Amino acid sequence: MGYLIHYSTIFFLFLGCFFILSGSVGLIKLPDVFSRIHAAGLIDTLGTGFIILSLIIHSGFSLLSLKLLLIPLFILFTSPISGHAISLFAHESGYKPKAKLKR
Amino acid sequence: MPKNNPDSPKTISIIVYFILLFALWFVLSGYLKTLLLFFGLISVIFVLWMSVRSKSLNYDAFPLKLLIKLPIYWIWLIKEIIKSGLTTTKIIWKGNYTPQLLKVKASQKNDTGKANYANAITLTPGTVTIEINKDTFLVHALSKELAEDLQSGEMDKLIKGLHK
Amino acid sequence: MIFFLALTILGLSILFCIYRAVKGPTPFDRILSISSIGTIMALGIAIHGFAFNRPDFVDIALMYILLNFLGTIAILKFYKMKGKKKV
Repeated sequence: MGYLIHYSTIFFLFLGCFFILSGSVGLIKLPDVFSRIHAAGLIDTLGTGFIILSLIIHSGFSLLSLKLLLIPLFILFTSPISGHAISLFAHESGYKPKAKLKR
Repeated sequence: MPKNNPDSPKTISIIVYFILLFALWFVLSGYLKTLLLFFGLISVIFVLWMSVRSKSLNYDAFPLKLLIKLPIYWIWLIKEIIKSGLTTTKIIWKGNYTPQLLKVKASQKNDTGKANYANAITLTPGTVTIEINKDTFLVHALSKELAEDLQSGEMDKLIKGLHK
Repeated sequence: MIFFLALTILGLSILFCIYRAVKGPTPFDRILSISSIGTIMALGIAIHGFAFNRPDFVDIALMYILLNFLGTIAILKFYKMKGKKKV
């Protein structure tokens, strides 16, 4: 049981780190603002989720793990709002995305 | 300031708010002494009194029948987030992005349903809601596959069932 | 030990975000990458607390996430006001 907890902590921690690294690489590689928002969303959802999951497995069930569970709950509410606000203001102030509208 | 239906249950939602706020206070503090619990009770009641007095409380927020449907919806949403996140990661490392703009029709009746649908679209990585008109969303998708996944309308139907 | 390796990877990705924040052609690129840096920093604070056996740092990470959201919205509002005055 102890080995299982140890190795699953390592696995989920590095899975989350991989998603955060690929999100920040996408922040460099993708061509325009509207595409980069997707990379930031990848950091906010999958990276945070897997890292907090590994920390919860590491700490065991206690009040601390409930407190850790509040972090993805807050991100679940705040991340789409800030992403939508950034894309809306960028669209309103005249930056057009490279993609054309499909009928 | 939220618009409230006159027939939405006032007492029940205030009780639900009280339980949620007190649970949040307890998780953040973690003390079990009687005096400190009493102080927490006083602060929760003060916050509720303030927000009822300033009319900034939304009584529509907790329909009780949602309590059964919500966990199923959350599990489905987590599955969808992981699926489209893997697609986005593949696109980032391979570099074959074909960004697309598309218009999506929202068939939800009330404002809460529309806001929930737009939030769910933005929360899944790979699709972002740019603009909200009356009942069409302007959505920016990272690839053709993700756009077709959104246009199949599965998410729309599920959230419409959530807000009956 | 694994926590320090994870912190190193997080630092590397913060460097990538800083590159985009310095170079980014539009102001929205900079706001976006600064918001991402805030999220990664909060996760780093939580992992750091576990690495040094002081889990009280989770509270600071929670506050950091809420302040990060407020800061993003405040800067966006400022840019929008500035754009309106020009027109």
